[in-house]
Amino acid sequence: MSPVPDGDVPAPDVEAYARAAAAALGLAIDDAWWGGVTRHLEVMLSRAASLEAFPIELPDDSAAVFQP
Amino acid sequence: MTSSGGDGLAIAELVRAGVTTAAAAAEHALAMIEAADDKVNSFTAVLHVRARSDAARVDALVGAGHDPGPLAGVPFAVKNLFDVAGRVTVAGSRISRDDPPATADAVAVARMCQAGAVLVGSLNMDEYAYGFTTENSHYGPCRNPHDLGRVAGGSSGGSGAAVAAGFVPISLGSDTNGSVRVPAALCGVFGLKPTYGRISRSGMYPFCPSLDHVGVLARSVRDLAASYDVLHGPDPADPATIGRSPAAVTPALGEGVDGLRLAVLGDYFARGASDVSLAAVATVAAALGIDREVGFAEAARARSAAMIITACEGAELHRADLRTRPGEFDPMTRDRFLAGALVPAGAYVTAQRFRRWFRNEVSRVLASVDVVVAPTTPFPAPLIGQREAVVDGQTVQTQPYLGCFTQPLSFIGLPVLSIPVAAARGAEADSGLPLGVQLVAAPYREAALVRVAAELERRGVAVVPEPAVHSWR
Repeated sequence: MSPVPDGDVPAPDVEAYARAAAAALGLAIDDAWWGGVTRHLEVMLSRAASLEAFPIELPDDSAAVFQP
Repeated sequence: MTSSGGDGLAIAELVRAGVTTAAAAAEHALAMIEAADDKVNSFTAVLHVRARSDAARVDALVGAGHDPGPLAGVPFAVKNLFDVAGRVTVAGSRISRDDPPATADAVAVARMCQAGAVLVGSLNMDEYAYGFTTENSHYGPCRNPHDLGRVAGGSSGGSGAAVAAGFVPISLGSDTNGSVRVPAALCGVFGLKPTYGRISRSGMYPFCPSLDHVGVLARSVRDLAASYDVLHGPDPADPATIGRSPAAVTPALGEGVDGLRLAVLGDYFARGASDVSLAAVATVAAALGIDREVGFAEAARARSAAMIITACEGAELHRADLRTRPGEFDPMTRDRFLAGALVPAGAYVTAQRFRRWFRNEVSRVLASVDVVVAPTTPFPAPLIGQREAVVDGQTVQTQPYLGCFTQPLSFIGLPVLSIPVAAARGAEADSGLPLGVQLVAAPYREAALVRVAAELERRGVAVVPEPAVHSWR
């Protein structure tokens, strides 16, 4: 997920991922918009990487279900 | 009668006493909007017929000897994502113009009107609430009444500008990441974002359901308190509001700050801001005699998580339109919604998991302090079209960075009241511009915020500046 190189792991190609994901999701993104879309996605992935790097014990992710 | 220099409750007192009428107050507001909003562009719809009808109903009640409510005859306006019966809820967009008209008022609008307030119009905003500057390409930029070349903040920019300009004393906005507090600060008015789930969002166009709040902007603390009192409380149509009894805050207005444990928020909230923003916090701290500092650990990550959740929930909401009519979105929002649609699910899950950790961490801090103080924005209102600013020697993107101090707080639903601070005015060469300071408390402790804000207002520290109307010509 991280666009930041981690050791020997090569940096992912965010634009290639974005183009493939957009196609799979049926999003027709105009060529003129790709620069902005990719830039924003890179910011999101960078922020996601900072969260991944923060150690949190796996919580009880209980679903919101009806109580008996 | 002008709301500039007065507040909503002053109008209500005159209406209830029969000194003036709701009709006269409404006509005055409509005339002010007609005369000057072409300069500010805060309104996207002025509702003459509705306002006159609401006002006539209030005057009829007064004439019959009934009490129309605490907001009798007070003109107000709402961000154009609130449903208004018979009107299309455009939410700052072109796409939603194709929606059918609302069949009823949003619950928040209805509760204001049931308390006697008179709806005069709908207000400009960032498209679908995704922004901090209200530079809307469909409806034009909303201009700051204190400097028409500068933004009013966003996404509830019209809500801040209309109150600052004196067109209405009270407005409603929504706050997902700071969208009430940022315009309140940049326009120099009071803004309250209550605890998550305290005010019903039923009939409000959503942005990010797990982060969306209804908020109020006003020219006085007592107007905020009176509005909150009529707005909050359970509503079956918004599950987030269930399970908590109402608790009026107006009685707390005169209680002062004795006995409250106060602190300044340090660490993240004391860096990355202009000198004038930090000076505003120092002014408030000095006025209250605060000598204690606390920190919310990992606030920067909290902002990151808020941005991810916002992007994902917002994109999901608009997925169909992003597929079929992406070219009709405002370019300022389109690219971010599209990027949000491409964020991997794991990022969203991690952000929500971090949210629980951060909530627990902040709860621990707030167990030992009642109200903490922090900047609302990192700098005063930027110029319209300004894309970058330099803060602490670092170049930042102006638009998203405006929310750097508001996002970590709404992220976990804390109640926050932004006050306009007079001491910050004129402190910088390009200033004379208003700034805001956030008062933050533990969930459901709005009364503590009102106590502190009222005390600062009483001491002249929190002041709503008059706009330089003469410069509009």
